Amino acid sequence: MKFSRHASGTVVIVCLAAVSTSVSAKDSLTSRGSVQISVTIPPRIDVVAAERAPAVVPRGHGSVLRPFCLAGNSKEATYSLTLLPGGQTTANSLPSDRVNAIPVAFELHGVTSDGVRVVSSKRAEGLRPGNLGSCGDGTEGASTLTMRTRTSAKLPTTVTEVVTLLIAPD
Amino acid sequence: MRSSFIRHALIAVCALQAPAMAHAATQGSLGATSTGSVDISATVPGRVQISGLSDVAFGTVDPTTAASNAQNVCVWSNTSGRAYSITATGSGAANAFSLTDGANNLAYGVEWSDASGQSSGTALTTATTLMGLTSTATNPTCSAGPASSASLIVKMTAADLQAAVAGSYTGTLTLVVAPQ
Repeated sequence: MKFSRHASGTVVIVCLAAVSTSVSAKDSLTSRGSVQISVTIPPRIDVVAAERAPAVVPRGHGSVLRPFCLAGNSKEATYSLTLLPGGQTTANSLPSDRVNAIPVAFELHGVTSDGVRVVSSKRAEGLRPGNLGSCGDGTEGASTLTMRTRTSAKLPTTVTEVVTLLIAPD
Repeated sequence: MRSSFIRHALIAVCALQAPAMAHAATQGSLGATSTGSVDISATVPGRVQISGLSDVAFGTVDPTTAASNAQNVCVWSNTSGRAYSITATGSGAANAFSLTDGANNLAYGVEWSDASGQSSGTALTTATTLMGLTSTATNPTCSAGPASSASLIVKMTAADLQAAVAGSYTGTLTLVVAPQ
């Protein structure tokens, strides 16, 4: 080893080289593995903010507005709406006059605010939901169902009719 | 004069280090027998290996229920305490643990246990090393001894699933282990 005025610098360089080798060796000590993760989220629909308050239907015929909101997780999927009168799955059930127990014919059909026509007990397809969580602000997913009614009641009476909104994928 | 002092000082330093680098072999002498010796040395560096990983396919999930997948894996370490550390990174932005359908993201969580057969463990943070783990593996790939030595758990919360847009999501989770 020949020392010169720069000998100490040479020693330092040797030391640095050793450190560099050490780092390289440390890198090779690790072991790496990986996994692929996959998941499928299916289309999903929620009916929220459906109006549950009683509506007063005039004798003869009239209209009732009922707001509801469809919130879904897919922009592509569309849904159908079926109005089930009588709160049952059977069509054309006749609610009765509570006082006189007289059956009262009750017709129901309507249209949603996005133009889908709805006839009682028949599927109306093509409803598009808003984004999940958007029903609260009323900007998306909100839909209004206008139900036109015609009853056979001749006298003022009270008829209770429960209408179920059934939402299903098209 | 000063240069000479530095020169002698460096020679002294090298002399102190010389025994570690010098040959310790001894040579035999002429006789009826002759004996020589050599010192033998070897360094076994710390090594680890992770193996037995399986892809995680949740399939179609019910968004109203949290999803979880646990798998047994093999981590082997040859350090004296069989200790190792692990660092996980996802394929999302900034190495986030998130899946993508090309347009939307879905977050997931990663947990790790240094025991196999676990359904929960220590939650990992992306690119943050979890230290102080110990392996029970006696073979680099667990082909002998314990069949596995750790648990990898991937989880998705119901809240995240419900907030996700419908679609098929994929991503890659990378795990790097290092000896300790």
